[in-house]
Amino acid sequence: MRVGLWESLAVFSCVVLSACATQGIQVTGEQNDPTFPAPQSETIINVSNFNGASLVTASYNDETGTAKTVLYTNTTRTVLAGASLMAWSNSTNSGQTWAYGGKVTPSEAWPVIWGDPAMTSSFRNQTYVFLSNLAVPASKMPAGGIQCDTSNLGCFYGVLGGACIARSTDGGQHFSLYQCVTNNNDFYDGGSMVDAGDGEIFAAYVDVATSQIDVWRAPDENSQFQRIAGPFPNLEIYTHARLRADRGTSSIYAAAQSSNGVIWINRWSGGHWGNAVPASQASPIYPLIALSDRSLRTGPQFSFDFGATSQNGNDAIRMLYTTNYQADRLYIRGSYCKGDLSGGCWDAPEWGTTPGNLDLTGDQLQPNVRAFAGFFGLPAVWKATYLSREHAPNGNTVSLEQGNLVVLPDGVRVLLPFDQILNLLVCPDERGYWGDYNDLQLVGFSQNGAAQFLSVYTDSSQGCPLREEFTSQDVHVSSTEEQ
Amino acid sequence: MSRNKICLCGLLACAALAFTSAGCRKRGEHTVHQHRIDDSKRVILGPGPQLAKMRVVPSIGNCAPRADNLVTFGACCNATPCSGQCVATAEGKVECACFDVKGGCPTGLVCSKIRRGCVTPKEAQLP
Repeated sequence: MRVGLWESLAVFSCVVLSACATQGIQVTGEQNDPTFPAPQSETIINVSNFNGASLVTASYNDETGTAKTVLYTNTTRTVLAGASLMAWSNSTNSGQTWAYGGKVTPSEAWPVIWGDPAMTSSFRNQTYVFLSNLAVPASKMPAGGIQCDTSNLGCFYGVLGGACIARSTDGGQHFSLYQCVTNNNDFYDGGSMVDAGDGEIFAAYVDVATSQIDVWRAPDENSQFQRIAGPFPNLEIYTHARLRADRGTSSIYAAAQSSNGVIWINRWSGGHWGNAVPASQASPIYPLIALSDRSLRTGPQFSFDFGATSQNGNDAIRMLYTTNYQADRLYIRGSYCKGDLSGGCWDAPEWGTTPGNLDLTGDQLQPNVRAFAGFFGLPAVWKATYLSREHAPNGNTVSLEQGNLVVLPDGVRVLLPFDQILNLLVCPDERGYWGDYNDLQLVGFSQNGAAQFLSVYTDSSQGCPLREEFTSQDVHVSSTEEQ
Repeated sequence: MSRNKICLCGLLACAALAFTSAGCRKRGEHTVHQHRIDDSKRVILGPGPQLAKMRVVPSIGNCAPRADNLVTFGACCNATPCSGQCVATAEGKVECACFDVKGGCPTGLVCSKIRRGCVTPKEAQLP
């Protein structure tokens, strides 16, 4: 079917129609919640079908209950054995309300569990949910605790030595330590998890010592994780990895940014990796954002998913990333690849913010992409979110924007975003930390069959009365539904 | 009513609603077709710029400034503190360098792996 001008205008207008901002729902930080007094930030989300109902689990870096193990002055932080940031909250109504779930206790062998959450559930048996955090092995734990001060901001780099994975056997309501993974106690950073659809569970971290992505695989929900070959053996990798899956073929994809700023992607299928291919223009690694009177540090600036192709047939992988390519500011740019990565990946500036179809000012950053493959007549959806400074290019606030990565019936690619949450006050500590990433997931369907997505994000809407070297308040987690 | 007619009616209804909707911000001044790129003419993404390779040699002695040598580099080159790494030149000499910065980083800056140069300690942090 050819699409005429009026139909294209109508599609365009429908997206414009949706341009109304909403309010977030607090995941943590409600006044009577255990999380109220402490900061939470850096979020990840999982959805499980458990006992016939949808159970949403959000995880984040949580300092609830750490008053005796994480000690602050204005300029120092001391972390003692027993500290854990690995916590979660649950929602049984697709994010309308949340309840604090608890926290995973460290072990003697791994006395500190220190954030960078990653989470996935087994698609074939969703009672199993896996949650990962970075961790400090006992062999690297200083006797007097981990001492950080303004002259030693990198106090954790020398003591982190792997990651600990917790497992839930009730859909995400309870977690306990399952296995800690390490490559000779190398410094692991980041974390991403995915299931391949057939019970295989994967976890990936950047090994900062070797500049490689280490991937760990459990053949099923009850097996131990074993390290497999890395996806980028011939590249020097600087950033966290992100994993996604094609559950129809039990394949997974890994992407990460190399030392020259290019994001690469590779596919694990049939028990081995293929050839990695470039998936972006060269772009800044972990760019720092200078706000009005504070700076914001950032985590991995790319996100992708596997989903239904358009009628063009070449875009089962769609990616968004932050770049300053041919621009003097940060903006979101798109790319796409075939599912088997043959032929490489293609530039798609139309799925970006500027250049693209939009006239925006201020930085755009921190993209997330999630696909709904479509079934039983429900159309496929490619949902995208990102943070934007377009409403206050020189201020201390950002907005959460959302839209769809669309391919119109005549092949034109377009992203038409709208405001989701306005005036998000950025409240980083003096290092710039305000949660390094957010997440986006499909959570279900509305009564009219529309795919519903849920974003979780770091939220300081209660104000920012405290900013010290290693902590800030108020910093909590909120969620918002994207349709 | 045919599927196409239903679709068109729905779209036109959406358009009418959009044009009468109040309180929602208008976005984008361009029509989407102004930005059409034919897939046949699209750029295949490439491997990016080649980075210069340095021949890093071991630090010798105890004069290195504090650095974790994971995220920031510090070394002792020719018995001199080096905020960077010891590298061998084409002539076989050992010099201090922080990537392109010969002599290493000045006081107050650190040699950052991810920035591949001299930056403030805050700019060198990993997320």
